[in-house]
Amino acid sequence: MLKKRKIMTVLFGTLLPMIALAQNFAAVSGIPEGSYKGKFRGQDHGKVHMMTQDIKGCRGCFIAILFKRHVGLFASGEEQVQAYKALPQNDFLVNGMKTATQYTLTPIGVDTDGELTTPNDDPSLVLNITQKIGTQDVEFTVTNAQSGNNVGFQSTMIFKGSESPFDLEEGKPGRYKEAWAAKEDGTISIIGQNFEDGSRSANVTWNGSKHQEGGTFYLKEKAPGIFTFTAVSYLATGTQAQAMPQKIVIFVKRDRREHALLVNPKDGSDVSELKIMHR
Amino acid sequence: MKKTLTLGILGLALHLAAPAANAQTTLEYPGGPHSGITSSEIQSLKGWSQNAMADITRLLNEIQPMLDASDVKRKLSFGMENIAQNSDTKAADLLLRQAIYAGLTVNRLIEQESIRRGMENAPQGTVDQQVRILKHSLEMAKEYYKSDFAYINGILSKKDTSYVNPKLVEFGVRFSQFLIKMSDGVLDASASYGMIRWSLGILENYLGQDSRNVVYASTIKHLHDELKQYPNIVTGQSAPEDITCIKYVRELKRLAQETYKEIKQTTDNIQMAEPAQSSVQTPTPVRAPAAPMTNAGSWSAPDRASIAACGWFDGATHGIAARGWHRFHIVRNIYISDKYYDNEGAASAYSCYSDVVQQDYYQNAVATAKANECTCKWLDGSGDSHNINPPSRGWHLAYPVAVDKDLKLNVSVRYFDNNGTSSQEACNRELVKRHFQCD
Repeated sequence: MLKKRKIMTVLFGTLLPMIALAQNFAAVSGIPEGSYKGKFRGQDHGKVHMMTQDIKGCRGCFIAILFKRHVGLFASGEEQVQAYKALPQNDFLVNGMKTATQYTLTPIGVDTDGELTTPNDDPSLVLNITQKIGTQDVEFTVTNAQSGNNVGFQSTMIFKGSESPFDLEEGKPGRYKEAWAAKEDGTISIIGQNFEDGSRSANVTWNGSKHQEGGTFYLKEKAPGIFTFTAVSYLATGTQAQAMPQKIVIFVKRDRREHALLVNPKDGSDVSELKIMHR
Repeated sequence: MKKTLTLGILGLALHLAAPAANAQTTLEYPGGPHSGITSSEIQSLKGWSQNAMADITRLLNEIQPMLDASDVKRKLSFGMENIAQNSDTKAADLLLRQAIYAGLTVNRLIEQESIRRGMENAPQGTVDQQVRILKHSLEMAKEYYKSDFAYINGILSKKDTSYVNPKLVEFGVRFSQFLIKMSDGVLDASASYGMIRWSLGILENYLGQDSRNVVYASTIKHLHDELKQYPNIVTGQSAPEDITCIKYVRELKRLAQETYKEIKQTTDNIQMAEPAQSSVQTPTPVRAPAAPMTNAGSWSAPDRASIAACGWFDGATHGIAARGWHRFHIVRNIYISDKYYDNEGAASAYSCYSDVVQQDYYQNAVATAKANECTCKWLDGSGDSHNINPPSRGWHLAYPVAVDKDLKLNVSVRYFDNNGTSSQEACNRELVKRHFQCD
């Protein structure tokens, strides 16, 4: 009898309100969080990887990182990375849940205040799910949105349900080093990671290299998996003034090794890749 | 068992009732709506705005880029609330106070949406966006202090009359543009939508309060009609599903672009028509004189086209050859027939009037009359004394509409009984509450 009472209380007091609440936010992403490997079609060729992270507070929306990496003698200069905000365009009932099958992908940039934004509201790409919606084997095609927004990838990309060897990572503290740099050049040290307001931030010291001026930077997670990388300067008053934002940082893992990708969001081919040395 | 069941049902009922209760709670920071001001009230505002400026400058100087964003947000919102709470309600007429009010309202909206979703922490970067919105609100408050000061001094040099801030519309457009830009960075779909929807609502309000609201009538009506379709989360309406919010954001951004363009065009036209003014603008009365409706006899602005009307022409005068009913308008004192409706007495007249009330210009004229000529009137309730829609004899909140070149009828929006002064006072209170508008 007691058990029955408990069940009734739970049913009426907890479960039903939860169902009522869940209905308000129904609609899920047809692309589960994960990493997908695909191929280019048309003029561009080679492999392309897409890593996704769901956006809390926007059911069915996700951050998509598109990543192209050529296998060649020189890794540098042959990569292209672009971050996108993916928003559902439609929804259908799939297994009783509202699920999107089409998404617009709008390139993410960094504005003069150092915050993430979409500099051009028009999406540059459209993603259409073609098979196995909502599963890790989901198949989809990414095409040009023909909107006039030419930032980032433009070619057609086909994803046939293959898993990518790259994973989007949280970004762990440690020393990262540019692969081609001299001994002490090109290293960045990420320390003081904390979790204020649920997002991650860190102080970064960069020794610099032939390619990049060194300095002190501030790393802050502004969207799932995307950090801004902001230069900090020191004044006589002790105030640390924020200089113009430089790049966005994305942490990617491959073969158990973390890489920090420093990307210029205005030009996705301007990428510095740093591998973690030790923690 | 029965008791448990009852408690369970009660719990469920309370839970389901909670959103309804929330639905009546506005997130708007108190003292928002702009209402016009008198010179007797303005002296005290001068001192307050000077103190507020000092506090704003101090708050902005204290922001450090590498401090914990949550701390900065708390510090800014606390400081801004202090400034707002120290103000008189009449400070709402200062743009400095409006900027603070807008920043605090949006900050509340973003926080509420995280709570509503039951999230322990808002999506990444949200607190940074809140800091940015609060900071920008303070910067706008600081910037518009100059125009507030010119406005205050302008009023002090005049007699005791009501005025509105001449920069109101410009401020409304800029703040709306800023919030739309900020909404891109706010990852919470309903908060992002709520910001845009609310910003367009306050822009509509500012356009209506502007001293030149007559010229914005068409834009106000368009905005008002469009916004009706979108729930305003800030004023307590329920948030749509996320996917609907995304769709609404796209639609509202388009509406915003259209609105900014219309306002710019109207403002450019005004500047072309008005002679060059000194840098400090002279404040203008809140209640602008109503635009001439259809009274051709007293038409005093021959450079402008009149609102079209219906009229019977004898076929020999006014330059109109066909005898009978015409829908016509006047340009530079010349009568132009838009359409001929035959000469079959009441039937022709009825056809013409039916046609006219469907036209955009007529709808705009009604919107203008509602905004500018709303007043309390005693009406006798009979059709003979030019009343539309007031079957009751007594005090009415009403506005006039022209249905013919010499005929204006009163349209009642609310009846206040026929108990002499008490009915009249009740009507007056309602008129003030509605900011002198019959909408």
